[in-house]
Amino acid sequence: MSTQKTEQEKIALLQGTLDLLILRILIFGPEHGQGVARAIEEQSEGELLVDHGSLYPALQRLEERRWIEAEWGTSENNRKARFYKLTRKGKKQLLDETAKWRRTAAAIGRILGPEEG
Amino acid sequence: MWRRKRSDIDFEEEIRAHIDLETDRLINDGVNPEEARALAVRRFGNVGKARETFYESRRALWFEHLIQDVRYAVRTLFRTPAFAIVAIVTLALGIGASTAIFQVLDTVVLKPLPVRDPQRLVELQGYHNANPNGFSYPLLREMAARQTTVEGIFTSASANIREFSIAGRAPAEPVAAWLATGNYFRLIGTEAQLGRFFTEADDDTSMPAVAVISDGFWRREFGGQPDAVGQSMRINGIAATIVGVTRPEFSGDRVGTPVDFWLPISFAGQLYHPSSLTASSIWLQPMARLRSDVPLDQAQAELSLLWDQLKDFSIRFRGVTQYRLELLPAYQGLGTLRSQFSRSLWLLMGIVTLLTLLASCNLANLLLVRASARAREIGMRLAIGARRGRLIRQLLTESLVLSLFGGVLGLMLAAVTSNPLMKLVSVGENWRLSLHVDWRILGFTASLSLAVAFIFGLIPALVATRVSLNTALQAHGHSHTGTRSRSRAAKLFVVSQVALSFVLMTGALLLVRSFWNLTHQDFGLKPEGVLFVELEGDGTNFRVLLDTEVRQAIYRRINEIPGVVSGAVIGVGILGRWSSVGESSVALPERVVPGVKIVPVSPRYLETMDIPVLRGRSITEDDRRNGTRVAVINQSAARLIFGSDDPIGRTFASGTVFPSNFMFEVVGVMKDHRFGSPREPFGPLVYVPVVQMPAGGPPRLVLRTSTDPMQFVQPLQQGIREVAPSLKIGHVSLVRDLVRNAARQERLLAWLSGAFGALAVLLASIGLYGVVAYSTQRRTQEIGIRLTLGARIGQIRRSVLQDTLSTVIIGVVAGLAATVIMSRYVQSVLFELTANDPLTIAATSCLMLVVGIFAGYLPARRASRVDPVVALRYE
Repeated sequence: MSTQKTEQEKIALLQGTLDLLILRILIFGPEHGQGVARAIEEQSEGELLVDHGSLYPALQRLEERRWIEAEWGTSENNRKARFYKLTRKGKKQLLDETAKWRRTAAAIGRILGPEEG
Repeated sequence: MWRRKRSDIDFEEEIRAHIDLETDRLINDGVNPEEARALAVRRFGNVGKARETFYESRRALWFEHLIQDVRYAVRTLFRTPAFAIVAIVTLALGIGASTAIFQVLDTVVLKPLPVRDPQRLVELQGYHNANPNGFSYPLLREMAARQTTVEGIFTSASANIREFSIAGRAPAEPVAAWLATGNYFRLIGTEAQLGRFFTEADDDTSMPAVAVISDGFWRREFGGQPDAVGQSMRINGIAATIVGVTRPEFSGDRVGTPVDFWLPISFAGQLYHPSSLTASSIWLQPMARLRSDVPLDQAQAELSLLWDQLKDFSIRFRGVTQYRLELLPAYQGLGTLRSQFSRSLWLLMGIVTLLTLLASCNLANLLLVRASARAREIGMRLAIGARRGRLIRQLLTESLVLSLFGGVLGLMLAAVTSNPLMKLVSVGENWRLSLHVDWRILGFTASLSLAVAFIFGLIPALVATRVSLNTALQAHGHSHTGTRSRSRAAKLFVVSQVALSFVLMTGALLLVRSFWNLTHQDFGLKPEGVLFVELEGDGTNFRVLLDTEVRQAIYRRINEIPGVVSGAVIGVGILGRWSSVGESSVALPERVVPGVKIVPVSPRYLETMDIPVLRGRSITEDDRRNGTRVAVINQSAARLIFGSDDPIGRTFASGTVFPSNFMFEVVGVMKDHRFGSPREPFGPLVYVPVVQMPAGGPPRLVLRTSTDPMQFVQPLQQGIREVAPSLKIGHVSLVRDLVRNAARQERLLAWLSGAFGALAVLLASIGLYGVVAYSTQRRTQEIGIRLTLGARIGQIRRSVLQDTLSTVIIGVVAGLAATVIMSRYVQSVLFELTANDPLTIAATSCLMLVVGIFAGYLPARRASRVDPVVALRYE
């Protein structure tokens, strides 16, 4: 478990980016809250820490904006869970936000300059 | 915020599911099962916080936003107090007037009787052929005993009081007594506040007399003391014991009619006439309470059949082939009060509704202007990420706060004005109606305020939030953002205002002219300077009131009074004061002519009222009791009865049989003149000598005098006392005032609609001025440029005026269309005037144009005085 980092080392998610990441994870298909959190952690190779306590309000918010929709279902290990699915509106939002984020990240990257040693 | 709420339990469950899943994963990763759960919970973080955030988003948020919005709205309004005050007062006037009129309308016209299940009450209306016919008491009893389809049949009727005392003392006010069947209170569905009501046992004439008193009477005469029950009253020589008091809201089945107490109907024989309870007296208008398990048509079928079978319990009229009975809805009680006033009240309701709408348009314009002043603020808020829907909600909240303040103030205004309004409506009527603010009124005011807020708030909110961010943020002070849609919306509201005020003003002018027509018509007689006097008995001798010899003596005596030019006696009332006379038939050898009014008058009646005799002669003192019966007929009667033949010298019989014992020879033809209410058409009218025909009612006198008629009341009283000591003078008025009084509803409508119409025009002109002034101000720069380029001042003025007038003309055209559509609602109350009267419409159009010129002139003048240098530096 070499990639496993301690909780302190992980980067707390920037406000607002969590929404984007949730949308991104859901593009692969319906997933429940715990699955989303776990996917973010795994896909970021353990760099990003999802505060589970703020995950659900975020899901709530996205649902309210009609970017995602939810439905109770059964998990792979036969547990009851609430599955979230991307809506058409959500997909569009994901594309927009992704483009924006890339530009922002590139811009910040230019400002910060080349990576040091 | 209207979406289906996700439940708390659902959310809790999701958290629990998460922790279960996380525990599974940790175990999978190799964590010891006991620790796994604790770790999962810890990793979830603060469950409480998540829950809190959830609640906020789900439930409290919209509410919190509302509170935020309301606080923000109140703050904003406080910052511009002048605007807030103007808006709130405008709204309060509109809402207050609407509420006051609605309250009167509701009380007089709409409210059901305050009894249990009023919807199940019906009125029994019997017919002989097509003629409505009432019930005799035996018929009522028999039908009630035989029927099986209704809960019961009951009735009440007013009683005549000649003599009355409570425990030996006289009452504080004249009393109104009613008779009721023993089942009356039980079936109408009301309970006693104190004591008991009648029972079926009280229908037995051998029972001692009892009385149920109304709450008002109880408070007035007994100070609301419970010991009223058991006390004794004397009514026309009968001693009745008070057994019960009704609830305050119950006042019998005829809304508005005063009731002080009820006696069992079994005493009618003693109170009225011994024959009252026999089959020959048809005087009752019964009601029934439907059974919940029997449909209306089944009850109607049975009762109609009984009405036919029981015809022997009534007077048999000749030629009746069909006996039919209808059950009419009676949830609002019986009586004519409601139908009589409903038209005027509905009309007033319509007028104030339009006025309120107009006030809303005015406010909408104010809000539009404000919105342009706030364009920067709104642009800023949109720029930092506020959603448009949220901003619209916020602006609507401001409108709502305004209209709620307006509504509360309006409600207070209505509380102050509704009682005087009620008095105004009921002038000359003996009503006892009290106005209460109940949930119906509150509901009306609340929904009106809400509706108004949306009408004046929504469009400005939509327009205000359609702001282009860049321009809104760049422009300093004045911005041009959204001006196109804003000025289009402003124009729309101004056009609506002009149209609405056009409708209201046209309506007002129509009602005023109709009132004028009614009171200034050619009555066919001269009402000026004529005194009208009603005589009444002192209760000791009824015969004197109806005696033809006494009338003759009175006639002679009043003409001896010095200063009396001419005096006459008439057996019925005139010009709307107890002047409805039943129509009878007259028979000729070859045919029967129905629809003629026959009225007994003394000699000199025509002379006193100045009714011209066109042919033949008038009724004179030579027409004696046993002489040839004579008649003077009006032009309409001559036409109807005799066609183009010369009526003088012709003979007819009153009634349907010729010849009969009542034969009259036509000796004169008089001009058509108003006899009954001034609205009634000139009908066929026949005057016969008062000595030759038994009269229906107590005598009335008319006197034409050489000086002020009112001075003659005293000598008249003395003269009457000499010839008939038991008669005295009752009501006294000038004939002129009878006419005025008969037109009081029309006067009320004319005054109120006139006032509302003027207010409407004022509001519309303010609105027009505001919009023109504002748009001119916005054009300052353009005008400056045009002046610099050599435009003449006159051209500038003309262009502003043209702009204004085109708006007015569009409004007038729209108003004209609306007037034509609405005219049918007004037509029925108009007297000798069509609702599309061209003169009235032309007058209103001119008025609106003049208003438009005035509203446009001031801004036009100001525009032409623009200093080009200042104007160009304006932005």
